[in-house]
Amino acid sequence: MIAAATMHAFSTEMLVGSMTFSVVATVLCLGESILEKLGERAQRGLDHAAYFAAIFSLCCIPVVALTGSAAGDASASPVLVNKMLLSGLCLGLWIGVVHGRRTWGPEMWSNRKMSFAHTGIVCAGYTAAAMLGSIGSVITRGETVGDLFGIWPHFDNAPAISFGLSMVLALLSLAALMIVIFVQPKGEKVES
Amino acid sequence: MRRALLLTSLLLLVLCVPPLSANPGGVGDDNRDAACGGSCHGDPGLSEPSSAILAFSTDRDSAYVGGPISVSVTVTEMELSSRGLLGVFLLSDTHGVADTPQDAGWTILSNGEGGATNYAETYVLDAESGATITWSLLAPSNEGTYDFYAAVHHGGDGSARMKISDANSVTVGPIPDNLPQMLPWDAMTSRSLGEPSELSMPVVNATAVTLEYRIGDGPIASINATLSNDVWTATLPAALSDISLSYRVIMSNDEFTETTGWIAVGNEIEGYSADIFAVRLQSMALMFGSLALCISIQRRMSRTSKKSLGEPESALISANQTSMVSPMSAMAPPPVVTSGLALDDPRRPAGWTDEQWVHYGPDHIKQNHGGGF
Repeated sequence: MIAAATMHAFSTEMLVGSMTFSVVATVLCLGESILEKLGERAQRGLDHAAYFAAIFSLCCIPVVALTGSAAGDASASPVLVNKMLLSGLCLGLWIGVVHGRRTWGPEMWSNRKMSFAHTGIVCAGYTAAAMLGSIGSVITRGETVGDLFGIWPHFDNAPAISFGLSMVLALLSLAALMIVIFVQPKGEKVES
Repeated sequence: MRRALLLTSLLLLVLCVPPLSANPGGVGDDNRDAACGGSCHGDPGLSEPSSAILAFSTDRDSAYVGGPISVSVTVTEMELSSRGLLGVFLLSDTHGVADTPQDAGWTILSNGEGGATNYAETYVLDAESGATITWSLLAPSNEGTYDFYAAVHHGGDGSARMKISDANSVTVGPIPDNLPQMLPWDAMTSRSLGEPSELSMPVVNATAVTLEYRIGDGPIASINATLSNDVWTATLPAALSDISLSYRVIMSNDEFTETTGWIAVGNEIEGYSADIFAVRLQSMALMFGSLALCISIQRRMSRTSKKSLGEPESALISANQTSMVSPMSAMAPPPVVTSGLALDDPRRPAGWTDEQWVHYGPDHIKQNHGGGF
């Protein structure tokens, strides 16, 4: 049998690789939409690459979270608690990335505001994933590349929120999501 | 030329990657075989030799079967990483498998660091004074000559480093008649702050048992143990702060006095504990919240984008919602008659359905063409 920690490391590498690829392709798309150096074909290719890499990353996130849960007992470590919380944030943002690209379509790069908004969400999702990786690195190696930045958080403390309040928060956020999905008018693909 | 420059830069970046340095934060105290510290320290391609000097010392020349003995390993002159972390092994062999002292029949009462493991990590301030780890052991149940090896894992100058000492032999001899002895015993190596600890010691052939304890390297205090039901008991006073406490057991009768090695006691400071279900709910809350925010931004921007095309707000309706207006349009009279709008009016925006044009056309014309049918 392979240990859960090994599977976690494997799936994390798959996730981070595809996510990095997606982020780089997205940033290149944004750059192309501003500078117009590479041409429409290249931008279209980068956009598709970013989209499919994002979908692959999205598929990897639950695997990473599950293998991570099996590899360690989060209830005894504030660092692991923070990892679980950031996993939720990362998953939400990354679903948002795929949803945004699916809703707006490839022509969104012709709209400057949408380009920046999409790239911003992609970068936010990647930052959450980078923080997750950083926590993992601190756990296994005692240090993180993030230390080079000087202000990189180590997440040594976790919020102590009761079960009741956690339930209220979850229900409120679920209600917010339902309202957004069913009440707010749907978005449409950007047309050229 | 540009591509070549780019490729060369990327290759140079790859070459700039620093060498690996194993687990610079350590792996924690545990029972580990010689090679279990990780291949980073043992792989010649990843590591460098250590200049550490390893010195053995014992509190007695030989031990009796099942009797106590203390083995100290002093490490000096090693390279040090910025963390100054040093991992020290006490081994019974160097095969890499089943080579802990326990595998050879020894019982580890204490590793001097608040545990009972053969591998202990400690921080070193400077290589000159180095570090000393003392293991308090009980000898195996079989007589013979036993070898001990010490091994160290540490970092320094950007590389993982490792060294294994030469063998240090300890003779385990027969038990003299009437020798006071500690039977197999799980020594207390950690306890909670603020609580006294009652120790039950299975000592045989003793007429008096004394528990000695000290804080750090301070003066030694002693407590006489009492015998009841063939077990000697003594109570260690409570520690009110995170002190470095160690104790030893002195067993004596008219002929002999036997002393265990010092056993360090770690303080269990109240650990962190979280309700995992609450954490899962919080994680879900963050996921739903961030997703709601993303979708909301995306839909709002989608509407803003449409607005910028100059269409009336009432026409900003998605394709999926056209079904909602269909019944109304079905009830309405023919469009040409009621609104006076021609379906082929040139002012009709591209992509609008007949129903949309009938309902929202007048607004559209008012807003963008100044009204007038």
